[in-house]
Amino acid sequence: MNAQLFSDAMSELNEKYVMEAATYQRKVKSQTQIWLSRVACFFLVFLLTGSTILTFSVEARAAFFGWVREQADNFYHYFFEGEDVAAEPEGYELSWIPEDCVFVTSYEIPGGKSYIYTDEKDSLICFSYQSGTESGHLFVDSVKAERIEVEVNGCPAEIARYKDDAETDHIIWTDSTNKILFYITGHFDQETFIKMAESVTETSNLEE
Amino acid sequence: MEDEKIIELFFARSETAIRELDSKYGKVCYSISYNILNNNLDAEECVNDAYLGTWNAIPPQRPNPLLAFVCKIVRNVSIMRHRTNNAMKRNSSYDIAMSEIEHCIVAPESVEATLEAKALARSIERFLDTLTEENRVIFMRRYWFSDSYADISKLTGFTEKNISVRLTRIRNNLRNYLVKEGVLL
Repeated sequence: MNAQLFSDAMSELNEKYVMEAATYQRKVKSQTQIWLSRVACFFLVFLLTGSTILTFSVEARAAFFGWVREQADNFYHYFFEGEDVAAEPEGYELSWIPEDCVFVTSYEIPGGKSYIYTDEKDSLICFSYQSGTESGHLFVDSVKAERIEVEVNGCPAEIARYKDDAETDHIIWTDSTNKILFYITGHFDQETFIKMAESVTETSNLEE
Repeated sequence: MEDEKIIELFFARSETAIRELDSKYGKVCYSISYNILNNNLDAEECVNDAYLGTWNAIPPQRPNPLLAFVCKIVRNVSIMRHRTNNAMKRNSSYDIAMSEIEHCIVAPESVEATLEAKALARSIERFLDTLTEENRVIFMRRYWFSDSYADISKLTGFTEKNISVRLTRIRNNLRNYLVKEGVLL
């Protein structure tokens, strides 16, 4: 087959494909809105100093030492206790992603960074990390999800799985010092989540 | 003017039919032709030839949708002109797009030596049905409309780099699909 045959075949395509492409209107939402709306299980709130978000009743408290998790009603609240991590955080990146995933963009968040990828089904994958600061908070509505305790490079981690495909599974863990909080969201099996998590490396190592 | 009214003008053999057609779809027709020929004069001539072809086809045809009908004529006329041009410069957006796909799917022989374009078209349609809307549009804009990456980026809102990555993935998937269907060895 050569290009001429391919081109002739393209001329024979049903008109509906031509019309779809000729009349396509792109979605109006900004990229940031799309990414945040699709990472449905996470909503990030970065507090400005002096403000509080809300009050809730504390049902249970699990100590991650520096990073603490409290359960309130239907969600978990992660926040950092102790002095802010003084040094500039090292950059972190995933050194391994599944074959069909493609990097899209990255952006700074307080104390860290988020990386966005897509797969061949246009699902969104997000890898983020945050170093411990007073302004870093994470709310995760995974109380009702199936939670699996695993380990990432010997550190305790948790995978949350949702029955509803509209929700996005995730893995969340801290480093061995409990000063950096990591999380990856996406539709992956346990083995893939752990492999991705264990591939996290400092950016300076990747650039060598 | 609505397509039905333009078609009625064709049926009435009114010369305003061509004017209305050009007013509504002239820009996209010219764009398709220019992407193939990379020459203003040739593109204008081909669009005019396509309008003549439309005049000769309506009546008795009553195409719906009219846009796709006219675009197909423009594309075919422009490709024929491109192939018969003496100059062998391969610098149009169409040339680059065809070169991209040829590198991916070229095969010295297919299962059937006389693979027909229509049969291949049916296979490509089945493949297109497996894609998301965005990827299908990107594929069509690149390999049917011969749009540049910049044009597709402007249309879809994706970056040119993202477009390039998506098209690479789509071409590879198309090759694998055609191998699975037995079209490619």
